[in-house]
Order: sequence, then C-alpha cells, then structure tokens
Amino acid sequence: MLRIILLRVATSIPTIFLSTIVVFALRYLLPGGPVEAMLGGGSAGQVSAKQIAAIKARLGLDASVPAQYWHWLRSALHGDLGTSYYSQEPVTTVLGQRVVPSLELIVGALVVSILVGGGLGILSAIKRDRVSGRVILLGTGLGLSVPDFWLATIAAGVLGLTLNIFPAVGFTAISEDLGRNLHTVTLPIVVLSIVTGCFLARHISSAMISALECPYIRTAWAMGVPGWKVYLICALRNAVAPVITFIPLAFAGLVGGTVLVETIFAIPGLGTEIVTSVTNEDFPVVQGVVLLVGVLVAVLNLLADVVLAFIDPRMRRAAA
Amino acid sequence: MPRSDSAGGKDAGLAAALDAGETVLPDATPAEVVPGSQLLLPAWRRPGRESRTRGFGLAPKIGLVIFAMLLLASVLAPVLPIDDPLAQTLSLRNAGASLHHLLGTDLIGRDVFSRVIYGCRSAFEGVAIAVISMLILGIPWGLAAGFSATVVDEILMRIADAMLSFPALILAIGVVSALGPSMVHSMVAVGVISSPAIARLLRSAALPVRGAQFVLIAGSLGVSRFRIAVRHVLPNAMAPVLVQTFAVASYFLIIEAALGFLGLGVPPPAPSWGQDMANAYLNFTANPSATIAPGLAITTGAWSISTIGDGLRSVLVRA
Repeated sequence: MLRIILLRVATSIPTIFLSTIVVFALRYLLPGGPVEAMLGGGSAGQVSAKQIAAIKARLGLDASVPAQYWHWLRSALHGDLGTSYYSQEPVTTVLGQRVVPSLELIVGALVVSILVGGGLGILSAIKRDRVSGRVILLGTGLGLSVPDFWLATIAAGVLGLTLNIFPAVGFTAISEDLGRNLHTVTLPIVVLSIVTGCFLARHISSAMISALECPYIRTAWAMGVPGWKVYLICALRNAVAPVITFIPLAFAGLVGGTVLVETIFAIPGLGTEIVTSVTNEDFPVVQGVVLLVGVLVAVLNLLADVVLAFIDPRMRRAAA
Repeated sequence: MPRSDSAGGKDAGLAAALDAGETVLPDATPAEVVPGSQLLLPAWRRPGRESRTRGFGLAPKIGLVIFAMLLLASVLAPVLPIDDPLAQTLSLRNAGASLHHLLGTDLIGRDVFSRVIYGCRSAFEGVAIAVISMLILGIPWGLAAGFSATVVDEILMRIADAMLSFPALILAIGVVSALGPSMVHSMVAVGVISSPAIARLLRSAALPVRGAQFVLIAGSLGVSRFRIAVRHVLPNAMAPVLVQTFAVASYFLIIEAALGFLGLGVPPPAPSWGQDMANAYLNFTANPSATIAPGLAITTGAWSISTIGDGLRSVLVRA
C-alpha cells in the first residue's frame, strides 16, 4: 500500500516540474523580452540599451535560461513569485488576498455539483430504460454545452437586476457577515455548478449503467433483494470512483469558469485578478496565477490517484 | 467447458454440445439451440430487446443538421440578405425586435441578428484553428510514443500527463497576456494544451499493432515504421480520435466565446458572439435580447457539435 503511494508520488513529481517549465516558458513569449515588458510598451526608444542591460543584470536575467529557471523555481518554492509590475507589491501578497473568495466559489460549486449532479446521474442510470432517464441525459447534454458566463449574465440580469432576489454584483467576506456572504455567493455557485454537475451526472450515469449490467446484479434481483438495496449498493460503490476521478478535472474546469463568473459578479477573487492583470499587462501576476493553478491541478490529480488506489481493491491488486 | 454460472438443466444442453466438440454456428444463437438459455446472451443480444447502441440517434441527427446550417451561415454570410454587421443606426440604439431588425439592435445600433450570423465565422475559425493544432501536435506525438522504446515512450507520456488537466482557458489567458490579444495565438495554445488526450488515444491504438507479427515481418522486409504507422495504426485510431475531436470542439467553441467575452479575442468591431454578449450585458435590463441571442447561438453551436460526437461514439465504438 505504501509502495503504491510512493510510486505515484515519485511519478508525479516530474509531471509537476514539467508544468512549472511550461509556465516559466510563457515569459519568453513576451515580445521584446521581459525587461521591455516591465518598462512598458511605450518605452522602446526612451531607455538606453545600457540601462536595459543594467536592469537585466540586477534581475538576474543575463544568466543562462536553465539557470534562470532554477533561480525562479527556488524563489517560488520560498514563496517569492516576483513583484507585480502594476502595484509593486509582491505577487504572493496580491494572490493571497484573492484566494479565499475564489476557493469559496470553487469548493461550493464542487459540493453542489457532487450532490445534485451525482443524484441526477444515479437517477438516470436507474431509469435508463424509461423516458425520464433519457430526458435527464438530454438535459445534461444541453447543460454541458451552455456557456457558464452566459448563464451568469442571465442569472445576474434576471434574478439580480430585474427581480432583485440576489445581488447581481458585490461580495461580502465570510469574516464580515456569513449571511450576506451566502447571499452574494449563491448565484455564482449555482451557475458554476450547473455545468460541472452535468459533467458529473454523465460520468456517474455511465459508470452505474455498466455496473447495473453485471451478472451479480441480475443475481441480486433473482434472489429477491429489495430494489432500493440493489441500487444503493450499486450506487454507492460504483459512484465513488468516478467522483474521485472527477474532482481534479472539475477543479480545472471550475478555475476557468470562475475567471468569467467572478468578472460578471464582481467578486474579488483570482479570476478578476487575472483579467485585470492581463488588461494592465502585469505579467508576473498572470504568471503567478497560472503557476498556482497548474501546480494545484497536478497535486489534486496525485491525491485523487492515491485515494483511488486506497479505495479500489482492483488497483491495489494490480499494483502488487 | 461448462460455464460456472450455468443454472442447472436448462443450459446443460448447450454446454454439453460445446463439450462434445460440436461447433455452434455463429448465427445460430443459443436461444435457438437450447430454449430458455437466453440468459447466457449479453443483454443487447437477447431477443425482443433493442440494441444497446441505438445507431446514430435522433438528437445527433438534429445536431448534424444544425451544425451544417451554422457552417453554411458562416460561409454564405456575405451573400445572405441581412444587414451589414458593422453598420450603425445610431437613432435605433438598443431597439427591440422589429420587422427590419429581427432581434433588435445593440448598444450602438448594429443589427443583432446579422451579428449573430456573422459571428459564426469567427467562432468556427477559432474552433478550426484549435482542432488543427491539436491534431497536428497530438497525432505524431502519440504515434512516436507508441512506436518508440520504453524510455522515449515514458518521457513523452510524462509530458502528456503534465499537460493533461491544465485548464485551457487559463493558459490561453496567459498566452494572450504575453503575446497580445489574437485569436490565432490563443486558439493554437488551446489546441496545444488539448493535444495530450489525442496523443494518448493514438498511443493506445499503436501499442497492440506494434507487437503484431505482420509488423515484425514487414519490418524485416524493410518497410519503414512510418509507413506501418500510417497504413495500419492510423485507420484504427481514427474512430476514437474523431469522437474525442468532436467532444473537445464544442469546448473550444465555448473557450473562443469566453475569450471574446473578456475582450481577449477577435478585436472589435468584428462580430464575435462572446464580445457582443459582453457589450450587451451593460444594458441587460433595457435590452435583454442582445445578451440572450449570442448566448443562444453559442449554446446551439456547442450542443450540435457535442451531440454529433455522441452519435459518432455510439456508432463507431463497439459495445
């Protein structure tokens, strides 16, 4: 058991490093180089080459590329992700202020989508030969194709601006007032969980359908096991694996979704931060967010693999 | 040999027949040979129960029709009898639906309906760029990994794993931040980040072929691995690759619209579903249709592409 975990961790470490390399390489796409970008686009003729060279030396940009990568990685591991071009604050400070609202949205959406999407998926598997099952499948197919930012605009517009049930913009932190916080966060979470819920519903549905076709279920029916017990055993056992594999995928998708939903609902999270940083050409912050997201997704994948290895006896036996 | 789950006398006939070495012809189903043995058959072969894979399906057919219509609209847009999408009628800003403007006008008086039709162009252009870059990178990658030695294969697959669940939108935003707003750059980045899935599919199609005897013989006769890859692996791999491509293409459409929504896509005033939606949202209470229409277009486009993928999967992938 421990061997499996260590093996998975060992094979994931290079993966995580590779994603950091991808993020690091982004800065070399900057036209003109990182220093010119830092000084701003209009400084082309005004700053002498000597000054640029001096800045490069000060920032350590005159070293070789692998050395720069190593330096950047080391400081990143120590919590130093650079300084924002726009606000001159350390990137970690900027990101730290913004992480909590985003996490609230993402975790909330995950919970809601697991509960609702999971329930719908199990239902559609049970009713797979009936109209209701097919209707659920069609509905989830449609839900997957709906762009979440469109739903957000409609929800904010109709429920927020027109009917005034929920606030269309704004955010109250948990530390200030839990009630108002939940009030401001409901619409974004609902919108985010629609797409992820449909995704999960389909996964669970197909996992359960293939489980329900197995001979042992037929034996259970024949032995007179009550219906709800058969479904419960099938549902619980076979829904766990897809949910665990689904969580890192959903997290990645939700991060993309929060970028837009936060912008629409004006929630001060990582999403609005990355958008304003792109508009302000504040590259270190963008790079910081991309790095954070990439590493988080890789770590979540690793955790999901380990948990699956614990739960699924087949994988344990296969690895042994 | 007798099946371990045979329930006694009913199946004894078939089991005994097989034991005795009699061949049971493939199209003589056991149900015909031995009455009451339908339970031996898989669920989808039992008499009186329709096939599990229901063919292409009604929803995918509808999706195909809609997709074809949208493609036609994007190609034929200039010759259709609709308004110029860039023409502004400033006296009619945020107007509601009328006979002339079927879906009303947007905040500077442009016809929403024609902007939705013209928006198909940038949407499909974005999807095409992303799909092409995904396939150009993914297919050789997977083939190379499938036909290479273990070490090279392992390295290539590790790189694939690193990129596998990276959120495409975030990377596209990162690329735009470095290179400036440009649909080509961002959609190429999106395609590149989605290529590991295709690489994996091709690798798993290549692995069983790699050890086959005919491949060893062909190799010893001097046939290059490239030729084997193209002639024998690619045709088998096309089915899952096609299904996967349609599934992600709908996602690419949404990403293209999302980038447009954030102002990071096609530069204005070109018609783009996402950007039009963002502009119209500022006036949502006054003119909801200008926000709803582009969104409906995105939903319809994405749904048609993904149902085509569903239909292809039920036809191409053997149960």
